[in-house]
Amino acid sequence: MRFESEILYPQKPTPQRRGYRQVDHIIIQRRKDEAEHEQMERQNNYYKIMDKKADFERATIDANRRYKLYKNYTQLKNIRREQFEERQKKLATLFEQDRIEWAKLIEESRETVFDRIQVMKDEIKVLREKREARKKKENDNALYNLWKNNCHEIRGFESKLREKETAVALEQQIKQREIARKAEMEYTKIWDALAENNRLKKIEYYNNEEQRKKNLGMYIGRCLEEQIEEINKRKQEEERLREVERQYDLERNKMIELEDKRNEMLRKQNAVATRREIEEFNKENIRRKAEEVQKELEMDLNIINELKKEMDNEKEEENKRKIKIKRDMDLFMEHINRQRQIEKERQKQIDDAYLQEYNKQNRLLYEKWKQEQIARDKLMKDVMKARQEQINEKLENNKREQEENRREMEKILENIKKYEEEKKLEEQKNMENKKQYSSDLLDQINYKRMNNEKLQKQEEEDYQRNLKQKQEYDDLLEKTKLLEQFKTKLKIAQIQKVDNSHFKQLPNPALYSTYTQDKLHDALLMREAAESSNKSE
Amino acid sequence: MNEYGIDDDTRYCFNVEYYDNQAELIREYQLMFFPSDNSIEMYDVKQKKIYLKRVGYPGIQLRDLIIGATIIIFSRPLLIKSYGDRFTATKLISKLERSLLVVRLESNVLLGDLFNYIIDHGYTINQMRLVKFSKETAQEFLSISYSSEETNKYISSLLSGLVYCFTLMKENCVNSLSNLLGPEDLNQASINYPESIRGFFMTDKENGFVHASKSIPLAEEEISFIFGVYSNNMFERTAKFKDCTLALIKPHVLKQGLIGEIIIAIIKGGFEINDIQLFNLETSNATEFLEVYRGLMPTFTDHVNELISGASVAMEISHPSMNQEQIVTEFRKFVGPYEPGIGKQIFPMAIRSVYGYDWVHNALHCTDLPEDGPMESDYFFNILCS
Repeated sequence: MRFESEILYPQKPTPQRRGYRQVDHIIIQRRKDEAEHEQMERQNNYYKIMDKKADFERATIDANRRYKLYKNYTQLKNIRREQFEERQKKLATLFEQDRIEWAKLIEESRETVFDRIQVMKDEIKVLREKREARKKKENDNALYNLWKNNCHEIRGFESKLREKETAVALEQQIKQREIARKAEMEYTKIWDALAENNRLKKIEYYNNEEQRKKNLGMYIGRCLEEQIEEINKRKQEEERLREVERQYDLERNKMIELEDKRNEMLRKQNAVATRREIEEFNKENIRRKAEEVQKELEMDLNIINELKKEMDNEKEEENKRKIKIKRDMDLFMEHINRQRQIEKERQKQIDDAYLQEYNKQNRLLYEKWKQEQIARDKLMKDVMKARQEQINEKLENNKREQEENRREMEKILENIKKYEEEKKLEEQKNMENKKQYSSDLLDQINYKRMNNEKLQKQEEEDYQRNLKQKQEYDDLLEKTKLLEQFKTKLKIAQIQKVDNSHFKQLPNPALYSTYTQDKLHDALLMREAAESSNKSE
Repeated sequence: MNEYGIDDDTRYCFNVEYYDNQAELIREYQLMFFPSDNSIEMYDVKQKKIYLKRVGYPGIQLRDLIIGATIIIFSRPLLIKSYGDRFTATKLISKLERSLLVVRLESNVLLGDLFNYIIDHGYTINQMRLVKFSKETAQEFLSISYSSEETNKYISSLLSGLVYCFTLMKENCVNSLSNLLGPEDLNQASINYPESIRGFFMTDKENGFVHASKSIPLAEEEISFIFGVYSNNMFERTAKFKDCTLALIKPHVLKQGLIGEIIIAIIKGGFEINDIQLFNLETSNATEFLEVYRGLMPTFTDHVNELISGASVAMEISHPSMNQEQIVTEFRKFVGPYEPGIGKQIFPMAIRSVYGYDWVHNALHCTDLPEDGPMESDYFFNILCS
């Protein structure tokens, strides 16, 4: 037995040894390794083949199973389909059968001519029966009535009953009429009360309306008065504004005047002040200087005087020196006088210098004042200008207000006019309404009167008719009584078999034109029948 | 102002989805509803432009616009996903207060009256099913809102008889429903308060049981217990899947509030209702269910649209003395021809003739083939429930 691997991979024939060779261990080892490798490869190949084989076997088994399953499934499916188809077929046949059956039933239930004839015949039969029954009933009734009419006792009894019934009915009628009259009275009363109520309400409403209108008028009057007052006020305001304007003008003029005056005064004042100041300044200065000099001089004089006095006292002692000293003194006095003059000149010079200086200062001051004054003037002008503008503005406002005043007044006047027109229209309307209302009321009254008249007439007519009917009824009663008598006589005659031809002549036939005519006719027929029966006998 | 207190300028906005069959895409829109003149407008959210200009659409009322419901506008089924704005949410969320009503009836004679009673009092039936309690489930359910003593007291009544559970929706639902129950003493209720649920429907004075949720959180808990994800595993179905036929009351009947009348008619006809549940069918389910009629009915898509346009009630019907073939054919005869126009001529008193008005709106769908009875019943009460 050989393995499959041996068949697939046959062993190579070992090469024949050609001759002795020295053993080469490396080669041997390599050969050994190669042999082992080959062996391993062979084994590997074998396993691979076995795996493939196993896979193949498994796949075939699966495929077989699947195939079987599919086969079974298809078989089942086919069976189901067949069943399904069979069911469908059966259903189709069933539905077909149903349809046929229903068609038959419908056909059967459809009405044929014979059925219709039969139905009609049945209907005719039923109708005929009904008609016959009705006729029979009518005949019976007629016969009964005939018998009843022929029977005098019953008739008498019935007539009495009827009399009673009629009396009761009449009484009831009267009572009912009375009740109806009362009800009507009540009804009319209610309606009258309602109408009265409505009327009162209407009057109240009109009064209220009038009051409201009056109030409205008063209110409007008050409003108008207020408006007139307003107009007056406006006028006053206008006048006041005019007055104010005038005053403003005056004020402006006054201001201008004042300004002029002030300028003048200022000028004058300045002049006076400068003059005065200059004067005062010079005077004072000179006075002061003079005083000072005088004081000095006085002091000098005093000193000299004292010296003189001393000299006087020493006159004797110093006689000799006196003259010298006197001379010296005179010399000194001369010197002093000279000095005095020099001083005076100096003072003059000083004054001049001072005046120059002062003038210089003054000029500066004046310039300053002037500048200030110019500034003040400028300010004053601005103030005046502002004031002027204010006044102008006020004047413009005033004018505007005046215009507005005028416009409002015009408006108010227009309103007043409009209101008056509306009032006129409303009055006219009111008048018309009142006229219409009064005419309506008159119509209603007329209508009511006519109605009352009609009712009265109708009542009278009813009363007359009632009377007439009563009379007729009494006549009828009499006639029926006569007839009864006549019939009794007839019967008696029949019974006695007496010739009764004279009864053919009835009393005036026009009397029987009422509903009793039928009954009378019946009676005549009866008589004729009786006669004919007599004849036949 | 109407029942919802609507002003003239009010506009409600909803986010809706439409599955485009041709493109196989879900398209999103905003649906605007104007209750003053019952008009609608649609806005394409992705393309940012008006998809449908404002137009009057009297087929839709404000009460139809509930989250999760499908409405059909110009033959396009639109699934309402959420409220489009805060105003709509605040205005409408108070109208969606839910409460659970559990009524144990001795027999299903008064089931139609019960439906009528609920609808007449202005409640919207959101979910409904017939429940068969085991001892454990009954104990667990009662322990949600009752003490242990009361649980022991009521557990026996829940284990026998027919227990119908309703999820009802109305403004201030919990309070109004608890007011409707009447006094707990059944004798007193039947004498003094004959108009209350206890007074009217509790024929069995000893085992009678009526329960309504006591508060909103309890209501939500109870609803999730009865109608939640695990409910199908917890409760055993009462459907027999044998000798039966399926009757599916269509959404237009529920919208008109005539379901009670139809149930009364079925019960008076001598049939028995084994199982009953309210379903909100999706397009795929409705198509799958009506697949066999494709090609047989000229208005197949209209039928599908009608089924997905609202809630429908599925019932497994049986008769004690009829086998599979008999029950299907007899019930089919009983409800009348599927075209009410024909039915009005030949069987004017049949259910479809009275309550239906065309082939699509023919009041109820019933099994047509005898062998389909258990299959259709299985589809609704087994496959759809799981």
